[in-house]
Amino acid sequence: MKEGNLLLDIKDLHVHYQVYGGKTKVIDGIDFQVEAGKKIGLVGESGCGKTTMVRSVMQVLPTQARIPKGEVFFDGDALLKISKRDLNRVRGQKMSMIFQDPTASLNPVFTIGSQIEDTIRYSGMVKGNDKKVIHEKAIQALKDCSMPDPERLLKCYPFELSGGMRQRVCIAMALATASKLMIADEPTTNLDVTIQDQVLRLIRQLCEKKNMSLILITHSLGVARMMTDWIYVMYAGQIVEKAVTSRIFEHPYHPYTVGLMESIPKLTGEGIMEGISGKLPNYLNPPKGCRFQDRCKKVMEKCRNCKPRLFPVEENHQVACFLYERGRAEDPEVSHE
Amino acid sequence: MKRLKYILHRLLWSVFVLFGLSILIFCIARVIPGDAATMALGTRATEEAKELYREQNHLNEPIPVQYVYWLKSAVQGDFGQSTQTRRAVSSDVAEFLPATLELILFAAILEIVGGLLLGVLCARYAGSWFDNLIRVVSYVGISVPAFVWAILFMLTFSFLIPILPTIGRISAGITVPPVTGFLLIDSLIAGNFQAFGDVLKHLIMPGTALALAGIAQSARITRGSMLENVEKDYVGSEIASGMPLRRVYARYILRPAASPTVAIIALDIAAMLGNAFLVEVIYSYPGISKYGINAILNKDLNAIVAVVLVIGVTFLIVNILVDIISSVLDPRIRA
Repeated sequence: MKEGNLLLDIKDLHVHYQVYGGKTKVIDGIDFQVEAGKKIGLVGESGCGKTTMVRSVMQVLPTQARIPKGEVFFDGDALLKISKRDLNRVRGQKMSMIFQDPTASLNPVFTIGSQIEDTIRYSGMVKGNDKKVIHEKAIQALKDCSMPDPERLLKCYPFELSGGMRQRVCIAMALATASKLMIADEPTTNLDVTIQDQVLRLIRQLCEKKNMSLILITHSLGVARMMTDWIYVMYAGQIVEKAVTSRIFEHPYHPYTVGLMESIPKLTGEGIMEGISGKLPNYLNPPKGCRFQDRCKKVMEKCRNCKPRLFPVEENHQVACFLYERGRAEDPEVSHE
Repeated sequence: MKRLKYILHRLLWSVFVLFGLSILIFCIARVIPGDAATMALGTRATEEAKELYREQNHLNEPIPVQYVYWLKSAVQGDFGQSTQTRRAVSSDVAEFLPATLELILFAAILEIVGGLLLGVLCARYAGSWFDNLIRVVSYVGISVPAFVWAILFMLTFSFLIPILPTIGRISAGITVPPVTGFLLIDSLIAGNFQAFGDVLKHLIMPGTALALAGIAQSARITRGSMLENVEKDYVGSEIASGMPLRRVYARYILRPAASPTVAIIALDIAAMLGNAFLVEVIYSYPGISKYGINAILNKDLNAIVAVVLVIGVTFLIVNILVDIISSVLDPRIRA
């Protein structure tokens, strides 16, 4: 990626959680880049740290989380270092986040209107906080998400809306203020399939319209393929593979990615998929070397002792696995590094 | 409109509750041991005099008949005579109730402001030294009874550092023309600010002693209830939208968390009406709580019934208020 175009640049990020009996190293040295206007998919199994990573960009981590090391640059600001006030300005005007559960991400005791309008008010994007202007912006945000009858909707409480409606309200709220980056943390997990499709299309369409970048967290590789330009595969707090979306589906390299792809059930009915055996390592005391070693079929001696960094295997395709330390070792047509 | 109908509905039911309460307390007052006539006239009264007293007060009739007599005069506002003060019970209540209400309202304000403030601060800085300190101190607040505080305060602020008045509602020599019976209000009506300050000084110690346990309890409940909400996604999305933390805590976390606190504080305030007794005794505060306990000790039948009814009415009003406040705070209750 070209450095000049970077909107978000995460460098060597570590996140630990203080828990009883020590600290869990949930994010372990992640590098992550988002170019302006690009849509990035972040995939990986539950508990691998996807949400923690994006929450540390937004700085909405739980209280027991610590960031001992790492830097997050966003649009010229070092997010981990700037003042609270500047951080709030960045959050208010440049980036927004949509959370997983639409039933939980709207405050139950305030009307939709007061929540959207307050978001707009505190983003500082309306000069002098003119009530009328704020109200119109809120209406416009709902209209952008093709919500019917926005005036009435503003007077509703969240419990009066369906799950799909609530998620669209969340999207409207996020888009009302954000202008550069949208983070969507499994926005459709709790919605039924037909609504899922609508919501995803809406997110994509709005991001393209405003030329915003998108980080989409998802379990579903199908969703990632449909929505994104780049895909980052995460395993146990580390990025194990990153590539242009079309490439990674054509040729996954990392044994974990390969397993992930193989565990998608096929419609042709070949029985239950094999999947990946084993479970995530213990974050309190993660294994030395590659974190995937205990579940990997191709594990080597080196994997037990050393931590692999990302090795380039093709243009726009990097893998953190010693199998590809010297390029595509299995594939002689690619020249060595 | 819907809310008005709801309140009227509740008030209608309250009448039945009060009716039931009056029957219950009427019977209990007459069942407790002791001879009302002896208590009223003294041990040296002749048997004839006692008999005459019983006759006059219908004490020889069966209890249901006595109740009908009582009810007949009660609906006309006549709750009979008190044997302690030898005055109409209604005028006793009119004199002593405002004093206690004034004390309780003062304590209530302390409890609401102190409890909520400490609770919000503890939740905001959960796990910090401040939070830990308040949590430990609040255990002391909850476990030490109000009368111990009352004595400790008196010792400290009237004896060791004599800055506050010890007894009564108002210093001797200061008078305020009675209008409402609430001395704070009356002194303001009279424009007598010296009296206002004096009354306020008299309220500080008993009011604080009465409120401490409630402050500690409501602070803990507010803290816990807010922390339950802190990890919710909507808090994350509010913070992520660039709102300052202060506003997120003061508005978006406090309000969904406030319902249990409101319920606890309200019931606590209503209960103060009875609990104020020891504090009123210690500070010689002429309130209804002290009057009620004396009535029970002296088997002053009419006074007992009247005081219990007053407490009952207070509980009912407070409960209706809690329902209204909760429904304003949380729209889900309204639906």
